Amino acid sequence: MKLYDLIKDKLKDPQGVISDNEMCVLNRRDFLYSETSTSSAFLKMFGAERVTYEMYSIIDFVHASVCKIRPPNQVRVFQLSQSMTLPSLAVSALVGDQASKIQIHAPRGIQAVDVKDPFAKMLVERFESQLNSNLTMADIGSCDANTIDILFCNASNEAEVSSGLKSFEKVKRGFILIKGYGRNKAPNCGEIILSARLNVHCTLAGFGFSSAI
Amino acid sequence: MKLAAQADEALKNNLLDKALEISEVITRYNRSAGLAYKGVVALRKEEFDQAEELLLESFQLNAKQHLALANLIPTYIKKRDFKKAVAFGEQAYAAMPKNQSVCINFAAALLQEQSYSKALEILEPHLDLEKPNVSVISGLISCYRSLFMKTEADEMLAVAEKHFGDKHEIIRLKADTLAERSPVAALESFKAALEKDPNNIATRWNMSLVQLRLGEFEEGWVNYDNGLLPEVGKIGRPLPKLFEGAKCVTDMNTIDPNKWTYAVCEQGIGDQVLFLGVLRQFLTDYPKTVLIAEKRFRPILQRSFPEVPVHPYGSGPFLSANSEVVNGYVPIGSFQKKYRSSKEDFIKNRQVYLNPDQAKLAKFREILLKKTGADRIVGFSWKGGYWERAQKTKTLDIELWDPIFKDQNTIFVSLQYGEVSKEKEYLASKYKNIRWIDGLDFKKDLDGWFALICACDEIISVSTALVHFAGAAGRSVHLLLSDRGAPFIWGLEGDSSIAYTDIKIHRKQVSQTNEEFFEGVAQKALTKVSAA
Repeated sequence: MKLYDLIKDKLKDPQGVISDNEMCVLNRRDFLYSETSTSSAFLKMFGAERVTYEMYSIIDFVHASVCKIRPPNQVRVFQLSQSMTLPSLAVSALVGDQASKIQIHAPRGIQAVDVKDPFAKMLVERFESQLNSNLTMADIGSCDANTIDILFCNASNEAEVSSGLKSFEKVKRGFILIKGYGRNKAPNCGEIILSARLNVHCTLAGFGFSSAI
Repeated sequence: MKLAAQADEALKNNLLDKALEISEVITRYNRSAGLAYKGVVALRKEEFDQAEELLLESFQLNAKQHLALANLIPTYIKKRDFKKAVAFGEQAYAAMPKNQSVCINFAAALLQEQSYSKALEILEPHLDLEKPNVSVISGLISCYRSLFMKTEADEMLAVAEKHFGDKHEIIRLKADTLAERSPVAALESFKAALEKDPNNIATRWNMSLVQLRLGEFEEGWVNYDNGLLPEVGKIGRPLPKLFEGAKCVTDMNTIDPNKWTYAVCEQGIGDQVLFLGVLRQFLTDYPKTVLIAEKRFRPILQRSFPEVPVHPYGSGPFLSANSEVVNGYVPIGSFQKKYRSSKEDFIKNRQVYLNPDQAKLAKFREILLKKTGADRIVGFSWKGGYWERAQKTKTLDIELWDPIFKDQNTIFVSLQYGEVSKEKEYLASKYKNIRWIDGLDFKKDLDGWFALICACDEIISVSTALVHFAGAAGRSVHLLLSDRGAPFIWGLEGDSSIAYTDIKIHRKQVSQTNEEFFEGVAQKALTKVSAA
């Protein structure tokens, strides 16, 4: 149930509502649920339109981050959690052939993706081919200036976030994105963040990120 | 003041480099004025982005900088941003109501935004019949034509022809004026206009609609693609900005069938249905197709074309990012020139291609027939069109429909979308056999509306999206056309549609009264219903 449905009778005509079952924001423009939203189109293609607003927002953030990538830049994705398969797939689909190369490393594997149509199937097959990349976690940061490293992890696993942040210290160009970072009781890995002189910005949608630009 | 006079003189003589030099000097003493002159130079050089930047800064520095304000209107017209052109036009007109150049530009922007009455009000004081200005006179003709002021349009056209008869602009206006009442003569004028300016995109676009109306499909569809170009603007075939950066394919022969192609639905929802009549042929040739359509249309399309992925407009960026595996996008109107280049192509390919939700359809029939005890359901719709001019052409006021509703053996169901409260009240006071489906938003719940259309035994309607949906579903439709013109697909003569299997066309003749016309329709349409 949407949180908004619980409180709408008490509100006087809010101008814009963004709500799912864990958040409700009033008087804001929504760019993600609309039919011109690329995030929404992407999630629909994989039968995932019922994911949380946070995931919509993550896909949109990924799109905003990669939309200017052009050759000779290449992209390497390090997907530390299975639950971050959709964001990795979004990098693959939205960067497409605009990068010289895309490589993906998912040490814990990926989740099964619900392929709704043959076009989506083609995107997934290409994503899977990019997974067979011989990339390892040790490769993070060891690259030339044209390489962009993207790390995806989930705050539900503290070790994963610690490992991700530690690895991100070495990244010269790219970003780390932590799903569920703003959730109550999620690890904030404060010591690692402070000692590496990082700042992880926590979005209202719930994910955290830090960029190397 | 002296420098400004020099700059004005240089601009008058089109000495742009000199004007720029002087404006540099002016900038040192009066930044706002200097920027305004630089903006005008940029505008004359057709550097529209720079002109916008300079003129906006000038205007921000000094809100009374009339030169900047006046030139922001043509700048935004050139940038095809008519809303902003109108916004600055309003300010400029308030500040300089007698300035002819401001008035002409403001009126041009208003015409693009379909505000004909306002444009007329602004232009009329500038008409000088002895020494007419070509822009004033052509603007006035456009206004009169759009406001259906036929006599005034003809009189003004005569003045225009007398003074500027050899100008492309005037020949085209003559063609536009003739387009609906005499398409053959209009086509001749369009061709004459193109002899003066063979590459004029807007003329080719306007001509395409006349060619299609005349059944000259082969050349008509080729010229129809001019509507995709920015010169025509939003009265043409504007496509979602989300597809910018990807390749627009209009020549079907350049499509690689081994790559994916996005077929993008465009124009109004009725046009989309018409264009989708060729989709099955397109899919045979190019099976790797993704259809891009509005969310509300999706359930109907998925049911009717189960083999095709249907994605929302938000999918646009996947195209530009994946050029190695995707051909690009084809606006569905551009399919037509490959598959519908003659009247015979239409006729031999007429088929049912949209399927309603059968469960919803059955439910509507049950409710409507059981509750009323009637034998038949007839759906009706009396107004259509998106643009003001199209609305005036298509709509047949509900007060004229009395002969239809007199049939007491039939239940009539309103299929009219949009605001209908006045008509509802009017009909409720006169008839007991008319039903309104409350709780079903015809614009949003397209699938529900389509099922309701298909639940009807007959449809009687003016030209609107309803007719295309019913036609594509193979339903029996009586299409009512006014004597003020009609969309090209209904042609100029004949009593059946070339595009759909069971559409009977009733054309009101100028010599007929409205009563005679509706009596005739009632007799033909409802007699058949009773006999069926």
